[in-house]
Amino acid sequence: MPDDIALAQQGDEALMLAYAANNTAAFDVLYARHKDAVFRYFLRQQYSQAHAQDVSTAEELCHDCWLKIIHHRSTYQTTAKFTTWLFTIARHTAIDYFKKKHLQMVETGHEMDEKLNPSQQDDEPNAKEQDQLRQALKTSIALLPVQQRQIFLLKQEGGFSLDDIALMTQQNKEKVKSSWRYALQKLRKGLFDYV
Amino acid sequence: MSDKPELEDVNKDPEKFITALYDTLDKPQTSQTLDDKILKAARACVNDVAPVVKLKKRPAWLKPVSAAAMLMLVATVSLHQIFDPSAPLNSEHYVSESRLQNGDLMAGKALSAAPKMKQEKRKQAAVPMASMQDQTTVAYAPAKERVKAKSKPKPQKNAMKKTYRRDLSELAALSDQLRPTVKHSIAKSQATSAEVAVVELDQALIFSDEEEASSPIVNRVSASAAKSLSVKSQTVEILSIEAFKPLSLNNNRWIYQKQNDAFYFLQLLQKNVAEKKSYRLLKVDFELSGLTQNTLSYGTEVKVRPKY
Repeated sequence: MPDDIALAQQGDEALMLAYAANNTAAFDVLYARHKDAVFRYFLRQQYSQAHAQDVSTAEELCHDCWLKIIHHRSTYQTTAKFTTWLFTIARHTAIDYFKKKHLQMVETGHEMDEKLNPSQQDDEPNAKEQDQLRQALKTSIALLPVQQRQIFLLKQEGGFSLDDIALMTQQNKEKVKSSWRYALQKLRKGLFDYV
Repeated sequence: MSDKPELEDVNKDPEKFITALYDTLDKPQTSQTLDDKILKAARACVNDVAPVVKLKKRPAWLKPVSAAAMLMLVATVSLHQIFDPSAPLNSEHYVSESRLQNGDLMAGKALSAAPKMKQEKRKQAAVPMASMQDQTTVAYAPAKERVKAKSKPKPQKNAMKKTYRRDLSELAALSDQLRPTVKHSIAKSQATSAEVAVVELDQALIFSDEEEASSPIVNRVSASAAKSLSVKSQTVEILSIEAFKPLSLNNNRWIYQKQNDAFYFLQLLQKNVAEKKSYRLLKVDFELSGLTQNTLSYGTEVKVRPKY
């Protein structure tokens, strides 16, 4: 038990290094800390009526991502934060998945309007206004272009700054900022009908 | 409705509004099945040790049996050698002799017939071989004669060889006579350069090893080259960093003279002593500041500082 407490007090980087040195208890702590954020990161990438299917896909991606962490544990270096490494792998996993499944959703505004028409979704705006708003947000996020969606979710779920995201995605900082602004504009547009 | 974001903010501050709305979203968690699967994989990967390859052991009975067999073999051979060291190793011959000693002549004859048969066979085989050899010798006889004839030394060739040898010996004697003179001329032409003189010195040393250093010309040239070399090296002193430090403290002036690949040649004007002295400064240790390398010309004042 004292070992578990000591591990729980350690930082992510120390835990990952400990796991690289074959300490499985360190991985348990690390996984418990970040599993939900990674899972939600994958879950929010998509939104469909079949919620169970989304969860299943997210779990599949989550499993792939953590397996990559496990297999490449010896390559981890403390030059960056663990979460940066984790979400970089998660991002690549998601991009690879959507490339394979041809689910890259680069939509036009017309498609968004069609999907987000409140009259088609619910006829009782006052009663379920908040729920509708949340559903609209989920849908809007899922309908964002891949680049903007990645940036939005990395910021929201990973808690990264735009500078960190620029480093992670190896992009120009200004480009990341403009993508962030475009993402917000599109989300605002998607939510406008509900407000 | 306390967690409800202010809807009016969507136009005022969309980032704040969307972030607040995002925080109100449900926060699903991973299933226990997935957790178990990943944690199991993490443990399995760490505990995945390469299986130890166990060598198949030989059966326990094999060792004493093989040892006994080896012992018996050695004992048999050694006993055999002790009791009958003159006995031939050929078992067939040995058996035939023993039987002959016992008086079994037939057996002896029968057994001794085998080598006879072998000899006859060999003879039969030898007859065609011999005839074939005779044929080949007949066929190649003219060629042999031709080779012999060629190998005979002709009187003219012998005479030419003799004159050639005589010429060679004369040339050798002549070269011995000319050798010191040639060396003298070569040395004269090269004595101006110190590096060449060093080479000549080495050559002189080599000659001394070969007991040829007694030549007075070579000695003279080597001495002069060595002298010039020593004069050149003594004139410009190499200045070390340690020696430079006290010189740099006073307001001394450094005048640039020239440079080569390794050294700066500078002249030091010491104000206190009113004295000029030339130094060589290693380029590796010192650098000249205040002027660029392109503007350096003879007589310009430079600032010197050690690189380290």
